[in-house]
Amino acid sequence: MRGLGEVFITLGVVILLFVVYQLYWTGVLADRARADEMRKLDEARKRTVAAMPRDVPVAQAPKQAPYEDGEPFGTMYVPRFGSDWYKTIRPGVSPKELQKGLGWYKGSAQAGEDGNFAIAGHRKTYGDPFLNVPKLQVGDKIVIEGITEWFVYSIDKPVSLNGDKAVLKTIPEDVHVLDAVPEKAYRTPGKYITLTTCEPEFGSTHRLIVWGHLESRTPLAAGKPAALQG
Amino acid sequence: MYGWIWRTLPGNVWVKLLISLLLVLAIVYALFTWVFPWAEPLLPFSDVTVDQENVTNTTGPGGAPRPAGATGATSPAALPGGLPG
Repeated sequence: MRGLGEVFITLGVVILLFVVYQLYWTGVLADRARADEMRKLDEARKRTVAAMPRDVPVAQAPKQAPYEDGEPFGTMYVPRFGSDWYKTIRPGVSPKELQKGLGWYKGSAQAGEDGNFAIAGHRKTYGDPFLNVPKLQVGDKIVIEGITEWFVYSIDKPVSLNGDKAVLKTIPEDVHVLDAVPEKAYRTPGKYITLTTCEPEFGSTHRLIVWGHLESRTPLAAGKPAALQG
Repeated sequence: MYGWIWRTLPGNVWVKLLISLLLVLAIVYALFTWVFPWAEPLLPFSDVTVDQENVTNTTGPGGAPRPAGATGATSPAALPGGLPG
């Protein structure tokens, strides 16, 4: 009987260690992955600048290339989440990609283009990127620093929500929130962004959705957009 | 179990203690490196996708069917696993 007790205690310790792994260690892994992704982005930006013809004015940034699998294509900043919050984005929303930062729904629009630029992120674990999505408000800015351009999106009130709420709670099967013109948010076509994450924090029964529209698109060389200053 | 391990370890108390410590570290390392990453997707709270079956039914609740061609640009509605969490 004593052996059985020891087995139970051991199992308990292993489960506690798993909690430490989920809550703490995945954050460490995510920070490392982000540093890696930032380095890749830096190189990609430098390569693009080096490849640019000299006589092109700064204002005419080259058109962005199609996103490549396994390559981060931008950094997201959300002033509402704090000035130290930034996450990298890469194509794909499988668990493997989301361990490295935010994921772009393949097949959705690219940043700044017509349609819906759709991004997924963990609410908890792996650095808790979208932990504070419920705090987002109408008019908050989402800034993407791409390879060649800045994109600034402004969060809208979805047409299906009352009051001034910006965050929609829905079920995981509700994939139409990613439509080019998501009917729960907009009536007319435009250049939109969608953020999706888990609800509740430690669950996966629901999803939180936030939408915004493109407000500006400027070359990287033009400097940080106003939304990130001050 | 632990009593048996302790008796089996060679050397005096200090050597036993050192070996035990190394064993514990090795086990924790193995858990964090292989076991937990493997177990993670098997647990419900990190289950970030939904059944394929459910996805095909998405037009059911929540909205009128969309007129064909009204969406304009590409849509990722053919998402294999629903919205990840």
